Amino acid sequence: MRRKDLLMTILGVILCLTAIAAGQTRRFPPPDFQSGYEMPTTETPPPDADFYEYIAVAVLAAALGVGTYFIFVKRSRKYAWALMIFSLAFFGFWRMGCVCPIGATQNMAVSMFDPGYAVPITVLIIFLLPLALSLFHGRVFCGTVCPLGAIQDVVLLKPLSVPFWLESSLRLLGYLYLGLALVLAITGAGFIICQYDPFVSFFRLSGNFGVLAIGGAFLIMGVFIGRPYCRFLCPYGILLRQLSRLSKWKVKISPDECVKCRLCEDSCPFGAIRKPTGEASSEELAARKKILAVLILLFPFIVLAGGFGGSQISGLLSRSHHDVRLADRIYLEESGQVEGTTDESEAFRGTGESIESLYELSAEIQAEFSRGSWILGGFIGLVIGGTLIKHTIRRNSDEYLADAGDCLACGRCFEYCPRERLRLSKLQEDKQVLYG
Amino acid sequence: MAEINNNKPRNKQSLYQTAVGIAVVGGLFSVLIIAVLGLRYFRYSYILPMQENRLAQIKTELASGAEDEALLEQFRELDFESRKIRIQWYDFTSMAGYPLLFNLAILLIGAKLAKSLQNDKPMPVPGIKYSQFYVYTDSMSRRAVMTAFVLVGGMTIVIAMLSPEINYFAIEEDEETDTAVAAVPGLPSREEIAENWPRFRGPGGLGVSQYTDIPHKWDIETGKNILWKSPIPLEGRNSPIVWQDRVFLTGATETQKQVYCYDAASGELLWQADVPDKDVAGSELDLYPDTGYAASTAYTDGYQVYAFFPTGDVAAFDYDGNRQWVVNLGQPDNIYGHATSVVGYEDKIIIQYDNGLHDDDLSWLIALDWQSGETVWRTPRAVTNSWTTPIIIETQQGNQLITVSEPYLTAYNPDDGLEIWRTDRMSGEIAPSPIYDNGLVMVISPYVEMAAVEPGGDEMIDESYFKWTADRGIPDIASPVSDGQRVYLLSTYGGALAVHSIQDGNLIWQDQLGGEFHASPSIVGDKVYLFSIEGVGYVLEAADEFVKLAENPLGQEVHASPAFVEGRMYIRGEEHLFCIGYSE
Repeated sequence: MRRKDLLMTILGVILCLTAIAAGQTRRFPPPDFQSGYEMPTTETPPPDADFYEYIAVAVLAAALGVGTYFIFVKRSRKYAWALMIFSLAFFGFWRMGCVCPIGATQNMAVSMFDPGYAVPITVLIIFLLPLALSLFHGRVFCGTVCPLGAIQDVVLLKPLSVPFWLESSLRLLGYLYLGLALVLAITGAGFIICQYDPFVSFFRLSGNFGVLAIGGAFLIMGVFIGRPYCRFLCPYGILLRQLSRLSKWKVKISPDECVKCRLCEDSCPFGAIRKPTGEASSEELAARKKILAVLILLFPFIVLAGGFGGSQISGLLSRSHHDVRLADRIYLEESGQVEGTTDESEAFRGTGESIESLYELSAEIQAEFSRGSWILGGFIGLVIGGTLIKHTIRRNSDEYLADAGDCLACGRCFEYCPRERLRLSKLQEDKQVLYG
Repeated sequence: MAEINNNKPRNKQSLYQTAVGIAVVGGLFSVLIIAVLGLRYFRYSYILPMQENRLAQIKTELASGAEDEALLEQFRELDFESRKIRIQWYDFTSMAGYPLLFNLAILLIGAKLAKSLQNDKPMPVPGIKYSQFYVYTDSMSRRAVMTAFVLVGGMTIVIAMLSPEINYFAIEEDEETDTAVAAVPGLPSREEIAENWPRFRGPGGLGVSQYTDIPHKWDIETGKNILWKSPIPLEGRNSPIVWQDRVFLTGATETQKQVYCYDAASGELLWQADVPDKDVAGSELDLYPDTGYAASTAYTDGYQVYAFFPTGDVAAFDYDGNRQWVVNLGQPDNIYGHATSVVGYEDKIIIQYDNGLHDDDLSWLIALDWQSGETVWRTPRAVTNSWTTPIIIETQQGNQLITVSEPYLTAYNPDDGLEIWRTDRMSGEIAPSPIYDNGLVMVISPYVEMAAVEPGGDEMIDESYFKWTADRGIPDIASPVSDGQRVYLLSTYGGALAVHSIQDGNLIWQDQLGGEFHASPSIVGDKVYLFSIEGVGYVLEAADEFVKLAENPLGQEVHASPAFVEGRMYIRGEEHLFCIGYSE
């Protein structure tokens, strides 16, 4: 076995064992006192003072500003990397991954549908700042500030190229995850983005075994595939990707003109570099037009099929809601299909609330899920139809470009460009002239 | 220069080896920490629970009075050991995280450094036709996305098939039925139902006769227009139902429940059949005398007759008096005793079984299979016990089963029992049943108001569905009746009659007939028929003013509403069943 492979294996084993070793902890049983000692009331520590939240917002704003400067002005991967490590330490290990804009997506969605749900101003700013910046400078947040991206970036040792077609398909998972997360958040089932955040357990050095295992799997995968979570699953990345396509200033591989030397061609571990397209033949254009026409005709049917498909799983989705699960359990107990009770069903019965009111609540939630599943399915159909059309419309470019939506603004490609090296050497010369 | 060039690779190689060494050291330390963590985790996860089980066992033995010093000592040792394992685990996990993180960082830094020292920057392969490249990748991408779509679709189908389908409002009951299922080929058509009087207040439960050739005058003394009268074996407040040549009634006492079948032409009692107590003995009930043991009107579909009693028993008999099945709906809890009547819908027998208070979880809407008596669906209702009978109406959104109880007026889908809409406006002890006319459901909250509601919407409907309300002459027992223009309300005491416009609910007129009334008024053509408890049959003109056409004493008390079929009216007296029609 080559030494490098050995290293990778060790890393993988360590991560898996970390996950296992830091498994769930059980409560310490209270001692059996016989002397009349009264157990003290358990005290819940107060939440962090608002002060810390404002500091987090200020650091985020500063990091985004500095990151933009490093990528667009300094064009320095080293500085960007240093900022990324700082962000990993601060937003990841210090702030323990919370609040993050990725999870805040759910808060925002709930607040839009539930007038009684208030989103703190700090969460609102944390959610909006990276999005607003993406309209001007693309995904600087992903490349330099996001701790989830950073932890994957640091384990990237042997990047493998993912075929473009596979990348296109896997990206659909992100849309599915985003849609699902929003439906579950709005219906009150839970915030799965936070619940299944694969890296937050690492940041907190403790956590649920399952989530740790998922995180470990992502990191092992991340040794070979650049930032798998960011590229294929991150729901906030979906929003940033779409807004970045509209960004005023885009990341450029070459500081001035592309000489088509092809040196940057395979430099991006995230598959974000687009080759020049060359001239299209008339046969190719005709074929594309024909496919495009068919796809446009099929588009509404794809959306409808998606919606219908979504509606078929509403029953299953609704079971993610604790009240529906409780109603199911009570129903099974009432109808004699199961024996005994669970802690939840006993607790419910202890409240004195009527079973019918629980059934009604569950039915209402299921109705919400039914609507939400239609919308979710339709959304997925929309994305698939849109993706098919996108891959049919011909893009024209005569230079190597960082895809505005997919580029994570990490700055890796800069140093591959001979024009960049020329710029840097000129800069060095200018410095020597200026400062002797 | 040559020396420098030769030294560079050597330095680089040396640096590379150092980096790998750093990574290996970091990795080894990490593995060491992980190994200790694993060991402690094993002790915590596997050994500790065993010790705790043993501790619990000893604790039970000690608690039962065993005075064994050795056992006590073993308990102390085990307790100490188990707490040590637990504390060691907590201590180590809280301490080990940071060294582990540090060593992982060392491992990564070493590995990254080693990686950067390897000169393996990607070099492009020579020659590429960009245009062809994009034709290929775009085509592959489309196929891949379509494949993903199909795969997701397939998974969706599988998931949908595996998804649990629980209808809380359709709890099946394993009620045993007494006898085999009747082999009857079909169910009556709408026309057949309309020609007969199959349920309380006739087709639709509206108290409106399809026939107008009913005499409005009769004389019990002379026998004028009294076609026959037959004694009823057991008492009851239920109304007669009629199917072609059969008239059905029920009767009961504290100890006996019966169903009766009379020949419509002669009044001969063709058969009488006993209904056994299924689960709950009738003697256990303490019923209000005005309700009695047989207040619920039976239902017939032309093949069988279905009777319901305040004991919760429902029984089906064929037209020859053979019992087909009997089931019990559960322990009744109704302060005056059940009086709701049986209704039918397609192949289902439906009973509004309201018990207790609204938060007691005792009220249900229950549909039984007409052939077997097995529960088809069973919908819980958060309502107080009531004495109303549901009606089934046809709307543009489909058929709706309308029920009234405190506090809800609720519409259900009669096919599956699922709720369609409701409003919580109902109040009081509600006995008047709802009616439906001019697209409006009219419901009574005794002594409070009559409300006209448009049957639509879903979930909890708002005020916009209430077309009008009226608060004059609101009855407490008798159900309202509509002639299409006016709604007639009859109060129990004094025979106060209030007539409201169906358009806006405004009071048109009100008057008093005198006496007391339990029976609900009926419409026969342009006439209104009303029977007082004293047994006087009043016939009024259905008009914008009070016009009494006739006043016909029957000679015995009447508590039930009459049934009307072609040329005949059947009315149940305290002791007899009367058939009134034109005598030659």
